[in-house]
Amino acid sequence: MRYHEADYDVVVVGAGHAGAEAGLAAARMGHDVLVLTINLDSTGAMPCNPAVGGPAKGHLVREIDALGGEMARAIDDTYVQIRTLNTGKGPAVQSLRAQADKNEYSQRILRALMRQPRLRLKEAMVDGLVVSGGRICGITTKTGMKYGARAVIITAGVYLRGRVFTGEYGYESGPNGLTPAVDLSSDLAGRNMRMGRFMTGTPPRIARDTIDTSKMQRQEGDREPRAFSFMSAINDPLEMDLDAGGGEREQLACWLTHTSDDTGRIVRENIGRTPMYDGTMESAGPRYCPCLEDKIMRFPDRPSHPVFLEPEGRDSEEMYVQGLSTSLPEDVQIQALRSIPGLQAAEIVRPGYGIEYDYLDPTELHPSLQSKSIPGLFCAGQINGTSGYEEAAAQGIMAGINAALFLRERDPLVLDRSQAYIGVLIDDLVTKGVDEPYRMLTSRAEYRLLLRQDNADFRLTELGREVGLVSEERYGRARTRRSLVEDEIERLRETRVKCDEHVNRHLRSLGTSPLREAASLARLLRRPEVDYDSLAEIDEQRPDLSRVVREAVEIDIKYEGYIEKQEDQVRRYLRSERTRIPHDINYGEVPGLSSEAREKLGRVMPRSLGQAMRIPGVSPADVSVLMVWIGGNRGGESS
Amino acid sequence: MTPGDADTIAAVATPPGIGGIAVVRVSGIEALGVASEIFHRSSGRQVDVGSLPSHTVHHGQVVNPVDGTPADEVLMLVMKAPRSYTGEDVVEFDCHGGPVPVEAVVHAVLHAGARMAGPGEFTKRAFLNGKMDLSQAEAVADVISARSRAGARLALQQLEGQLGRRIRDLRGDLLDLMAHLEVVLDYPEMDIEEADRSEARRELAGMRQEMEELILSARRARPYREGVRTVIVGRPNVGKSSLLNGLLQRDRAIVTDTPGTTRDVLEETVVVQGIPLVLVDTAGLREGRDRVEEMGVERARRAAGEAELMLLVFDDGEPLNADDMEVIETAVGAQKRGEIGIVAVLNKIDLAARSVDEDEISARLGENAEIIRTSALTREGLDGLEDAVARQVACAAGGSVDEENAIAASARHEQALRSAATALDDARSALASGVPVDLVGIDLRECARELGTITGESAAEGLLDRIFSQFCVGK
Ligand SMILES: Nc1nc2c(ncn2[C@@H]2O[C@H](COP(=O)(O)OP(=O)(O)OP(=O)(O)O)[C@@H](O)[C@H]2O)c(=O)[nH]1
Ligand SMILES: [Mg+2]
Repeated sequence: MRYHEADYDVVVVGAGHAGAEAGLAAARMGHDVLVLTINLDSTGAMPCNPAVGGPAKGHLVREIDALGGEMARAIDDTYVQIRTLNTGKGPAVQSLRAQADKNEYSQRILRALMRQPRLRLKEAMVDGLVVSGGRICGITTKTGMKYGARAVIITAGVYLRGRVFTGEYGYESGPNGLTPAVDLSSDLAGRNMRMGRFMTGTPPRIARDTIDTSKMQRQEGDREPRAFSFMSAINDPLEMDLDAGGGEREQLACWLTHTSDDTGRIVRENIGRTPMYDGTMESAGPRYCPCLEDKIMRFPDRPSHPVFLEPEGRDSEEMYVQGLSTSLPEDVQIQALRSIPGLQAAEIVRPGYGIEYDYLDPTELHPSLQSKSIPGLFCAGQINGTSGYEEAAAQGIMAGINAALFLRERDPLVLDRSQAYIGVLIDDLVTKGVDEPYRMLTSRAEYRLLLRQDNADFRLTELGREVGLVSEERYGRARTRRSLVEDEIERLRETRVKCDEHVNRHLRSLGTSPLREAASLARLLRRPEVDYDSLAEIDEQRPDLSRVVREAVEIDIKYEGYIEKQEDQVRRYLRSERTRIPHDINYGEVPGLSSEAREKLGRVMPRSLGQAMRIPGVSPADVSVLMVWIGGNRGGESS
Repeated sequence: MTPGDADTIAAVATPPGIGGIAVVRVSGIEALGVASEIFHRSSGRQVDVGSLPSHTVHHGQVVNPVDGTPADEVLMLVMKAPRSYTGEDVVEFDCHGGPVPVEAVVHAVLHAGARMAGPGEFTKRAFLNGKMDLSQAEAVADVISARSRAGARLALQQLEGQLGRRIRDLRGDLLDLMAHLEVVLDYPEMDIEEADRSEARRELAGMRQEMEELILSARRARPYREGVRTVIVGRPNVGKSSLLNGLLQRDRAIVTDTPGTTRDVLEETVVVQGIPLVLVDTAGLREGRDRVEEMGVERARRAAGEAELMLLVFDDGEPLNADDMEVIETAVGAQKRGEIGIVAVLNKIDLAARSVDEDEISARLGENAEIIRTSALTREGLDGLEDAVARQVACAAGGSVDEENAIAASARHEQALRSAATALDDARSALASGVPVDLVGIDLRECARELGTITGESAAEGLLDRIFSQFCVGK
């Protein structure tokens, strides 16, 4: 018998990046939420790199923020360095990346959860689901408790049957020595959910006072720091002061060095001493983030690999060694480290390790992240085969929103591939499944010029407001910015500059050709040599606008041609996306489908013809057959 | 779902090689505009097709909007949305069934702004616009699955051929380049050297060249997939119609012993040693005895002008006369205009006269022309004629027949190659004018997508595989 302690609307299992967003979203939408974690001190923890953002990941953070999530504000409050990456590479791929103060970040998330009305955060090891009548109705814990719930969100990260190893030494564990979740994993597998096994790794941490930075390259944060959250002062569309918020904060440096020939030799000589290479491990690790062993073995021609030393926090004496993720034995880690310029005297304070864990095949889930087999059960984060804090948080907020919508018996919020990176992420997961930990990349997003980090609020804040997650203040900001941007674009299109000597002298000074006849400012702005600010001289009625407005105006006008191209592609994409497939379709009854397609379609259960087209193993011919079949049976039902 | 798809699509709606009439169907919001641009009344006047009432038929000509050449005489059927097969504005052109007029009409339609429909696309639109009931839908589903399944298998086999390999290589090179250009976007902190823009442009120029060659070979392959236009010419009564019947193995053309029996051109499709031939029988060439015969002779000359292969027929029972010489001159004229196969057929050998001077013919037509003796009556020598035809076709196609590649290069592939080339050109000019890499990527991705429609691969996956296998990226 379990002690039935209380009933909640939603129970969230896990308080990492996915669990925190899921719990906060559901509570902010007005539901009673219980968040359970194995260890309270690990709430919002960063067991791997102390950083948030970067290409595609930074985009996710912006999107989470635009929907009313927590991650952006938390990292804005706690970063020790922030930079805009890819500044010269075009508008779609510019992104923010911040070095976090790990402990402060974790504390910041912990406070957000503990202070959130309607949300209770507790320590507990969940050991099973309570399912009755095919529906979820609660969870049980190791300490004999039972909590009732109408919806449960599992965000168990890499804890499911976690196994950590450093060289020959391996043991059952979650990250940072925490207890792994074994029973929950068996419970899920016992319910016929397809599970798989992945691995990932983390590098050693070394003592700050044992590194010699004179042999390394210093990397500074931006002088004019930006912020992730649309709610930060600097992203206020009416804020003219560039130093608003963050300008006065002291930023910490990171350090860059490289592996040497010796590093390669040391790894090669000891390669048989890691379970990854001695043949005992079968799980797949990520190709996009190879451990040191993989780098050396798979790219033997590369003379060296970059290694970044990143502070783990403002007051931390530990440095994170980015680029040296490894499960080699500790003595080999030490030798390898000391073969790197600047690290000759380095001392490890925490060895790197590999971790193997169970994940759930994400094709078990609907695009709402709800389980196909157990209504009311949602899964988000690394348990779904992803990697990265941002990917986890993005799924977390969607699971939180959709659990709340589920309780209200409303349609789920499903973002499509043209709306958000979040849409690309979840669509990829539930449509294609995973064969390695999934990391978000800009090259996964086919409409990435439309999915910029600067316009996440335009894309998503309205939707966040519709589900009740976005505050009036946030919504007001997005609207204000939008109307300022639209007005200014209009003005630049209408305002013509005369073809006179003053104008032409200025144009020549910008290195662009003079005018032969009057032209609109918008037209001039489209020239590659010209930017918005450089036109001020010949733009007499220019209003005083904030940076976040000016930048959006410039991108919209400058890249109009490409934006239109992408919008065209999106129109094509949406046509097949809007053709719904009835959810009770029986693929066995559809004549003419190949047997592979029948099996894949039956498993994925695509919502639309467009989604069906993306399933590996479903051919265009199968899609045609399917299209005609549903057309005949449903008379072309569409949303 | 709105009926307004952005694209206007076109395709031949009748199966190839069946019946004397082919239907070219155009559907979409621009269908009426496309028709206005290419349709001329018999009087030569153009009309605003949009102003014509729905469900009416009009007689006239389709004229290519680019170069003004007439494509074919047609009946045009106008059906306005929503009362059409697809539920959109639809215009159908009923034209002559031969590959040449059909192709000419399709080209005119594409030049006027329509694009080639993909497999099942008309049906898809019909379904999307709610124009199909259950029984229709099932019938079409069967056809689509049967046809595209067979087609997919065939395409796969063919893609093992040289053409397929070249397209895959091209796409591979493109993805490699994209990986080089893009990897730095996702991994700005790894010290991967950025791809050099002018180097990238050079590589793209090379790919563009290869694409041009592929387009060209797809064009060259057109006779194979659409038939080699083989025109039978000769003076009256030498046995042209008899030879046509002989090759067809049935009595299609009227044969009499009266010279001047055939008055008009007549086309039939026959497969000779795997090569589809469009056999064209013509009126005997001589000074016309009356107005009708004169018109027939005129048409015969025009048909000869469009020939890809000519069968010059002589009566072996009589020495070459002035009319025969005229026939030879017609062939010489055609040789001067371009690549053309020629077979001189000395017919009626059963009469055993052997009066034609072969050396005279060789001297006039050169050594590439072949001379074959036949009897259309006894079928003697017809096998030899077929061999000669196959050799001539191979010769005209540049030495060897690569049937596999020929079939692989379907009209859809040609269209995909052209779209890919356009996207590639956009990317090149973007690179040249300093446009940021992420935007250049949009055009390159489009290009890879088009090539992928031929090889059946999706762009994103291939790209990621390349990034991960070629670059050491990650934390
Ligand atoms: N003996 C003999 N007679 C033939 C042969 N081929 C055709 N003929 C006859 O020659 C006559 C004319 O044949 P057609 O096939 O009508 O000749 P054609 O060249 O089409 O004539 P036109 O259409 O009038 O230009 C017919 O009486 C045929 O039977 C042959 O190989 N041997
Ligand atoms: Mg005849």
